[in-house]
Amino acid sequence: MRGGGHGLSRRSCLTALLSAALCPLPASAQAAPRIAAADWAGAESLLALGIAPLAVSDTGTYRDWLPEIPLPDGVPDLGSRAEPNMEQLAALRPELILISNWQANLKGLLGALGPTETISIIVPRTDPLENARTALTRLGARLGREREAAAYLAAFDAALDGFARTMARQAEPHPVYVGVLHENGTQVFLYGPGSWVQTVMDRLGLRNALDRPTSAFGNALVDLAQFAATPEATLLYLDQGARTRRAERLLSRSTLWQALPMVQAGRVRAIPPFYALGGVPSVWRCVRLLSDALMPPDRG
Amino acid sequence: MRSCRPTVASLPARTRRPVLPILPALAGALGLAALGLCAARLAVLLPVGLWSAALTGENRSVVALVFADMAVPRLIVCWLVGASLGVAAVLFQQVLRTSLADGATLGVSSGAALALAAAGVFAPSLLDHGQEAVALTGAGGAVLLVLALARRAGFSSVSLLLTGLTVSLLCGAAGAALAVLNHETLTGLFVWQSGALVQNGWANVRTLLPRLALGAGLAVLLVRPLEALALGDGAARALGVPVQWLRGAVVALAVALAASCVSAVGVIGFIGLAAANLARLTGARTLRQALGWSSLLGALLLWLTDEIVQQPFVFRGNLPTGSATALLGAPLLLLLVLRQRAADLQPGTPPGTHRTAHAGALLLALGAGLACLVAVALVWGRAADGWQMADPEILLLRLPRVLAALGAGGMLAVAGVLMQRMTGHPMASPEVLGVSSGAALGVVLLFFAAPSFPAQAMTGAALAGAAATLAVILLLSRHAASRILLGGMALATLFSACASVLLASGDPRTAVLLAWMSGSTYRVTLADAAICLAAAVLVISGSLLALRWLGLLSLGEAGARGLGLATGRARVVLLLLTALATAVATLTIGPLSFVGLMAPHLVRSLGITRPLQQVAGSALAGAGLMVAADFIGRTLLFPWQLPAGMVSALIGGPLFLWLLGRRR
Repeated sequence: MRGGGHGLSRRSCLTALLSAALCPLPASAQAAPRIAAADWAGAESLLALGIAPLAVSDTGTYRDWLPEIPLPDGVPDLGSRAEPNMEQLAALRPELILISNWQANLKGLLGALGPTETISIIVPRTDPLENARTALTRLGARLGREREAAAYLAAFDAALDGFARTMARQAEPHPVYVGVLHENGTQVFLYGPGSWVQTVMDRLGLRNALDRPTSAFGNALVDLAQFAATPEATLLYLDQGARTRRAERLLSRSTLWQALPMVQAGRVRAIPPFYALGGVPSVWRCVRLLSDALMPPDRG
Repeated sequence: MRSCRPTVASLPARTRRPVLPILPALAGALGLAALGLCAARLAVLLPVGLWSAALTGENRSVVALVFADMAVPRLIVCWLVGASLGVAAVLFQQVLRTSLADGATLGVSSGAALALAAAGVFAPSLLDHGQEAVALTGAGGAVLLVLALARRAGFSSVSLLLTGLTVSLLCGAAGAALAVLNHETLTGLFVWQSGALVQNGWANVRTLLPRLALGAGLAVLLVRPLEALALGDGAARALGVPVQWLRGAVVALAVALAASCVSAVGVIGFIGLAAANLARLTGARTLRQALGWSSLLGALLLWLTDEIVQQPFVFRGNLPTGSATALLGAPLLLLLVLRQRAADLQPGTPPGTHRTAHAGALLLALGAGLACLVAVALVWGRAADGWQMADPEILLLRLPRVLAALGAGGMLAVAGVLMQRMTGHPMASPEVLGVSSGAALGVVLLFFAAPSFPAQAMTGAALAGAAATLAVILLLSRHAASRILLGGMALATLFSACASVLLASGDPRTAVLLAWMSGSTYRVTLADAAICLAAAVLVISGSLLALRWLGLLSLGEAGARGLGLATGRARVVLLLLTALATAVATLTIGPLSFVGLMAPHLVRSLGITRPLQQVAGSALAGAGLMVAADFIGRTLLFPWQLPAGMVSALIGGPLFLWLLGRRR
């Protein structure tokens, strides 16, 4: 079923390889900067600039959610993103610690271990994709990697355009929901305005079937029954492992769920997970995942 | 309102008098209220004329689906669960001979819920087919544990309830540990136990209906032998009743009913307790009547609660019904406790007073042990490349956490000693009596009352909460010292209900709140640790100055007064010390640590009983336990960290149960 969009995947692979090949050269020439990331938005942005992070929180989940920009083997784990291990971090003597704006309450604690920089992606009433681009550019400027930042953004824009052109060739796309199944088996978190998933959908020419206000993090919690209002829609839900399995188990026993038109028509699909609070690399992954999921299987 | 004895069903009625009219009137009133709310809600949802089309599936619009696949099944599940819990509670109460028993108070429900949570993490495939078997295993395990422990104390009301509620709290801590160990979100921490009746189809109705029918049928078959049992074991045997088998079968039936409810909708606490007691208090005389009316009242009570919860003004309809029943059930439990005859609640005598000849040496050993622990916790630890000595920079990061654990553990333990002396109850402690919960509740309320506040306000709120709870407890203890234990348990339950209510409100700051409630020392600064230590020094030295009072108070109110103690003033001072200790400690290591309970008992089991030695020994032991818990939390899963309060609850819960079982 999947495996569509081979050409595009190849192109994105190439650009990723290219940017990866360009960047490490200057990195190895000088001493690598020692930068730790308390959240993945910082980690992936560093990797996009060709810098291996000194340490990252919850490396296991990072590797699952962001295989496109792989962490080099042996990058130390900092544990939970809510409570990054201070002892581990201090022992590594970071020159800079990247935190996300939702971790602002850690600034005081981590600030004692080294200078911190806050990366703000999801900020109410701003364009999150623009924030992600700005964050990458600023980080590049701070680390003397302006060229790499610009190259990465250019490659991203080119890829996005490519995906958008291919999607546009499709006739009249269905409205789409993108979200995460709630463990209670009766609700779904759906992405909408305020998250860059909305921006991605706009750029790809997709119509978000979600038509209600979203929270400060750009999502909305919606009851299953609401899906009956848009019988023609498609639901793509992120496969977050055990949590998603639990939700699927509950849904499989739900007569309401089984009766939904989109379920009966087979227009409900799991897609690999992406990090919705992440930076440009996460956005890129989301673009690819949505395109792969929605492209007709015979194409490519 | 005159009422009959709530504890034991009366003899098989000689005269088949009809039940008093008050019972049908009560049921009618409950039913009408629920029906009114329900009809109004459903009519707003879908015009009455469209109901049949929705139910037959002709109309597939959103509202029709919501009506037919969510609202109506929820209604029916509500009745089924309420009735099952009502039947289960009557069975438990009949066989265990206490009106305080039901699935929630015996730990049965939380046992089932914990088993389900554990299966979800370790063996998810089990849940696909054997979900009920898993729930049943957990519930059965919990009830066996509770009965085995309560057996030593002759199945007294107090021991049953105390072990049951402790097992519940312990299951809660274990569930939280599961969530943290698996890097799940912390939201489940306090809400994981609260059952939600939200339905999205008819599966639960199809599952529960035959089980309730079977269970109720079996219960009716067991009525005659059970009535014989109420005459006493000897008489029942003479009538040819296999007493042990019957007890086992009835408990198994009640456990199965409760477990199938948990498996379907999660933990719905206290409905059975309320239904069974209301039925008995308002006129159900025979066991048969009690079963019938309790199942009806259970269904109606849960229905009414669920209708209230679904009103849009109640937390935007987001409140889990299980939280609401706990919220209503905790005060009910308190009332029932107050109604109990004092004799039913007599605690066992305090554990025998051993020699204290070696007390000095023991204290010295405890002190030396604590010093070693602190040194190890500070210097030794894990890093990326294994266990090693810390360099000064790392030491400085560890220092606030170790010091805070030290201070909090020490003063919580002393608070435990003070409370045991003040109430004369060997099982009293800030955690068991809900003082920690009170302190936490103060903070939770502050969180939701004020959008932002200075850090000192948190201390103030915790202090106010702890002091208010203590005052209530001491008022209760004036009636009968033994009641306060059950009252405290009710308060602790009330707290977790309130916490889950507030967490269900969806405030984004709940994340911070949850991190704090789990008892993490991660965010403690050196200044916080200094305050904590200072408070500990104040509390411990204050207690040492009050040693004479402590000794006199344990002679009882009259004895103490006879020896010239102004008991009122002494109590106020000790109360303030306890409140201060509990508030500051709770702010540091969360409300669930069990240290205030464990440490004094550990010291007592070593044979240390005199006030001076007890205060000193408990402080040392408590500090040691907490430092050890923090050390384990920091190193066990390095670089991941476990909250110290949670680690100590997981060590302390089983220890407490063991001590409880060893009494007598």
